Amino acid sequence: MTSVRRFTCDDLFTFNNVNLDYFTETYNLPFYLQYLANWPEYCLMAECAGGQAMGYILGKVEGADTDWHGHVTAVTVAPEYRRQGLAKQLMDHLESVTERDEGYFVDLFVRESNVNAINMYKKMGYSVYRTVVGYYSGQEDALDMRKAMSRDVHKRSLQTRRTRIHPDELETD
Amino acid sequence: MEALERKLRPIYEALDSRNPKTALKLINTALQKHKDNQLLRVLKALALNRVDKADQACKVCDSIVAEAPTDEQVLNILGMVYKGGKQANKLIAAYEQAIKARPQDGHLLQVLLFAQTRALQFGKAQQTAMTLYRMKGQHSIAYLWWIVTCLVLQARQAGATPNARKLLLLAKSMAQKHLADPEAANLQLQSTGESAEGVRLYLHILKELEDADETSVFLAGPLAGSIFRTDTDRALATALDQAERGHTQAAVDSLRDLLQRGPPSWDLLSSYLEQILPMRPRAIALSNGTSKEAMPANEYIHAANGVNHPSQPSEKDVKVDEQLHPSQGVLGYTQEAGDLIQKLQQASLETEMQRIPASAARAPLLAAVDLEHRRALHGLADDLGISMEDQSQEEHGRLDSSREAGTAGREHQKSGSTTDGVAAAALVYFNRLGHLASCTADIRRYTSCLEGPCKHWLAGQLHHSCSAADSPQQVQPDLSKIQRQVNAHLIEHDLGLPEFENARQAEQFAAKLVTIFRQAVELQKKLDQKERGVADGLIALASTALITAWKLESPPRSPTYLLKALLVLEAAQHSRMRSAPMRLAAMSLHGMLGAATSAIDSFDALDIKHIQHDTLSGHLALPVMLATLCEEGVAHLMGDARALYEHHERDAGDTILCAFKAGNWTKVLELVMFKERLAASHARALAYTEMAVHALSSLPAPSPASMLEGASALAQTLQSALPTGAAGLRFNEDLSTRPAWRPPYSGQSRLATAQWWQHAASEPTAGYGRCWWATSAAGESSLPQAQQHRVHCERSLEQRSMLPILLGAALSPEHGHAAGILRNSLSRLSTSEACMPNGAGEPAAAGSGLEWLQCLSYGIFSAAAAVQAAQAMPEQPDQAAQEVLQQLEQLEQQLAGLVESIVPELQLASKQAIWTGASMFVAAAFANEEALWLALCLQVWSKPRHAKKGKKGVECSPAAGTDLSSGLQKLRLALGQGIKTLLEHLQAITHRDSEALMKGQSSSLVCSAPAGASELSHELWSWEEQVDVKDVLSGVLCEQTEFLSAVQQKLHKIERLL
Repeated sequence: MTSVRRFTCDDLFTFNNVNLDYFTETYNLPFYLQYLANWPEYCLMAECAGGQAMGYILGKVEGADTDWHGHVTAVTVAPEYRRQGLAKQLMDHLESVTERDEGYFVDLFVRESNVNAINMYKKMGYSVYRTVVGYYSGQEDALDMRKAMSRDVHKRSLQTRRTRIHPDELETD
Repeated sequence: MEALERKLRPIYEALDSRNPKTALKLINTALQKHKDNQLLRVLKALALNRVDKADQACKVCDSIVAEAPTDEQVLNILGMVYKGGKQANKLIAAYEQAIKARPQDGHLLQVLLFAQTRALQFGKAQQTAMTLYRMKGQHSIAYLWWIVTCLVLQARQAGATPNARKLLLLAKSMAQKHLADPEAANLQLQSTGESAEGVRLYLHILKELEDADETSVFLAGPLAGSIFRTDTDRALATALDQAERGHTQAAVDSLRDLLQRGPPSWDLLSSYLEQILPMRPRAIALSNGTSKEAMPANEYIHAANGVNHPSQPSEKDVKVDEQLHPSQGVLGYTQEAGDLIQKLQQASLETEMQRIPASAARAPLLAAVDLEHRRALHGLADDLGISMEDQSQEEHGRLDSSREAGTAGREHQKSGSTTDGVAAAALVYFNRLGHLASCTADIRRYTSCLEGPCKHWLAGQLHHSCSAADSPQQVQPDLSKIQRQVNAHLIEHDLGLPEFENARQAEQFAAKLVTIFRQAVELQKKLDQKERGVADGLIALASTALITAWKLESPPRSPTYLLKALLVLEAAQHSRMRSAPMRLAAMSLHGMLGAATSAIDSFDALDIKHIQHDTLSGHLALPVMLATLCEEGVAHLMGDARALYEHHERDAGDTILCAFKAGNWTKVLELVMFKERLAASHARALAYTEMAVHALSSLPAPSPASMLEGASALAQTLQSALPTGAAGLRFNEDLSTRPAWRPPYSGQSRLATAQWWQHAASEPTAGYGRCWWATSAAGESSLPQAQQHRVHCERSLEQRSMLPILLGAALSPEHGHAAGILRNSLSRLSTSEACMPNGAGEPAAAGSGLEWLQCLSYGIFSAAAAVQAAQAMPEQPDQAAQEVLQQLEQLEQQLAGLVESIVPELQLASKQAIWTGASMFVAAAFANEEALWLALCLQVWSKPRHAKKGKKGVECSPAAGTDLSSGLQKLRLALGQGIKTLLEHLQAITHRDSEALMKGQSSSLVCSAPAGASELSHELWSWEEQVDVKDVLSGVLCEQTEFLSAVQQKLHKIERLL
């Protein structure tokens, strides 16, 4: 009974049941609108039978050459719809769009302390590529997790010599 | 030239390093030698802009534009300055002039196109894109789509006119020509997301033109493939298109086929059922609506007084497709749907057994409930004979068999009034998926519609099912079992149950819910306190039950049960620090008790920001702050809200341009509509209006002159800030976040709290699912209650936004003009029932404080109209004076009525530790506004009148003049006396022996009932060691005292004006 569709501007008026959760950040308006304006295929909303928001994913495609990849900016599910595989469903959609756009991998950043999320991403096939020191306002490190797409036959996108970098060394914002 | 370049470098460096003052010095020096240099001058404008001298910056830019600059750098910097000053038109004019000089400059044309797009000038942008398209030929397909998008947007602006259709046809023909080009089509087929947007836009145009045949052909063609994620999505769209064209049979066949072939998605199932047994149309009532409305959760009970009762669906609204049914009959199709759903359920059961989560079974199980719901809606439901006595599991078995027999037998009894089948299917859903946190929400739209014995039956079965699931060996509860219990209680609440006979029963029920919550907390000890716990939902329910207990008491009610509700919330929040429903309930409750700081703390803890100011702040926090005279809070909150709207107004053009540049044509349409929606937001209009009124009511040293000046300026500001015509407002408020016991208020925000005490407090609380506002986007729904809410909101906003005009006119020395304004405005307001006093300006009934206040609010300006008219017509002194005297007497009566109506509750408050009721809030509203307006008016009206220069003044006859001044004097005395009376009673509250009263209140919290009371208090809150009743009560008391003091200060301030 879940419908997954493109995230629309009007969803910003009805996503409070998802965003009032402590762990879900409400970004400023231009942030959402820039994502919708530039990467609408990477922004999806899951809604239930009554039209209520269940969860959503916001992402983008960026980089150049072998660094061309899909990026998960935010993925969140309303508390009452958790543990039903919805986050995986949304991630699968984003990965399939990345495949279509011929990205080499999908990556995401997660707080080092967010063990539940890290384990969930691991189950989905993501692995820790490197640590970004002080990524969260200098207070906490982020884990840069990646999953290779089919274009990266030899999974080179998962290999790195530098397992710890600083935010200013990131290839993309 | 080289010398100039040398001078430019440090200027750029200063600007880059954010040092505009240094840049300005350098520029001024350079300008001494190169005074006409456009680049230096425009850089000066930029620097001036950065030192907050926008006006001077614009003047410099205007002088450059007058010279028709063609230098690209100069034009770019002009753009930066004009953008900051919102002067897009000037920038566009500058580019247009430059292009006249360099018509073949593609880059300049492109910059012009961007500027026009950013300014949302789609007509001009279309022409510029056309020039670029012609200039660059086939290699600039993006410009073609840019043109098509601009045409669609212009058609939208043209509304329902023949021109709109012409524009759409032109857009269609341009898009079609391109898509028909084999080379282009090939490109589309290989497309990624960006080019698929062209296809999507084309489809949008076909839909706008209502060109069903062409839409159908296009959907079947090769190009449409690029816009669907999966083949199933495409097949679904095709089937829905078939249905739209009236080929329901074909649509049903396609959907059935899809369901039989693939995994049963909810989209497919609900579309299939919709073709067989449609629900009511979902279209939004607003003409400018952009969002589709979900089916209301509670359509049986909310459709006005049974007009759309499920058993009697309106012929117009709910029609079974006649084409579909001659061959097989509606019953045949319904039977077929039932069979198919059963098969899908069976298949999902097998999937489940292969260790795939039970959630996979949700769609077919929910479809079974949905089918029953549709059957009930169409009067096709079987009467399963559910009665109040059918509470046992055995009965449930019988009902299940009955259900099967009913569907298999095809001999339907069209009892037409039963929702028994929905109840039975909901129970099946619960039995299978009651362990999921979403179970209640999944079936809310159905359970909230149940009426009659079946809802009692279902509630009984839910609890029976929970207890039956306990095996004799399983003594300790586990989380799954608790989740089922939680769902059983939440569904029961959605059913509008349990019904309590007395307060004690409600309290015991609350204690039972808290006990389950505690068990869950114990089992989830390791859970992060900021996470949602399994039983968190029960706390909001428990506090609602305690508020119901309070309502069940005979008046005058003691605040004990409300405080218990507060303590329950307080205790639970020690374990669940960030639960939004708990925070919002606590915020509402604190607000009702006048404890503004705690209310705001709860709101702030949710970190409400950005777009949430549009959906939450205006209806949740603002009424609390206004009611409790929390001036700083109002200024801060409304400032944040205004920043959201103003920043979006500033940035929207950039975002829309981004979407254009990225080739996301349909997103361009969406972003334009979003901008319009936010600009027409009711919350926005409310923020601007309340900011204006707040600025007037909080003038530090109010005087007639300062008030007149402020009111006139704010009247103008509001006029330019508010959308024209309240009817075009959009209601983006997310009302679903409100507790079940706190309905949205459609009157003036400042009076929302008083109104709750006055009316809602005596009304029974419906279950959350039964609240019309509980659904997503309820504010814009087509439910009668929502429509009524919108109409009342529009009226009260109009009334409120006219206050600066009324006040300005009441205090104006231009009597004739002011009288005209007042009469016109009052005549507009007279159509608004919300603010009109009954007949002679008195409340219809015995007269509550709130009603008297509303009469007084109108009465002041009614009197002002008479006074101004009298002063403007000195030639008819006696007649005019007579009318004024009548109005003044009426005002006097209203003042007396107001004071008399609120005094008894204030007297009662002086005997309680924690006061309750509407009166304090009415007194606060009066002190903050009406008393101030009246005091200032009296100052102006009482001044001796002087003849205007050059005109021969006509004095009133001596008798009329004496009467008038004595009337004004009487009113002044009445206002003074009213304020004095209020102050005396407020003083008595301040000086009450609060410590002794607190002791009494504390013990009543623990010993309110004869037996087992202390046990109950333990079950409700004292299980949490950190909760200290004394601290909580002292906190509320302290905040109430602060509020009281604010009201007293306001009244003293007005006393000094008299």
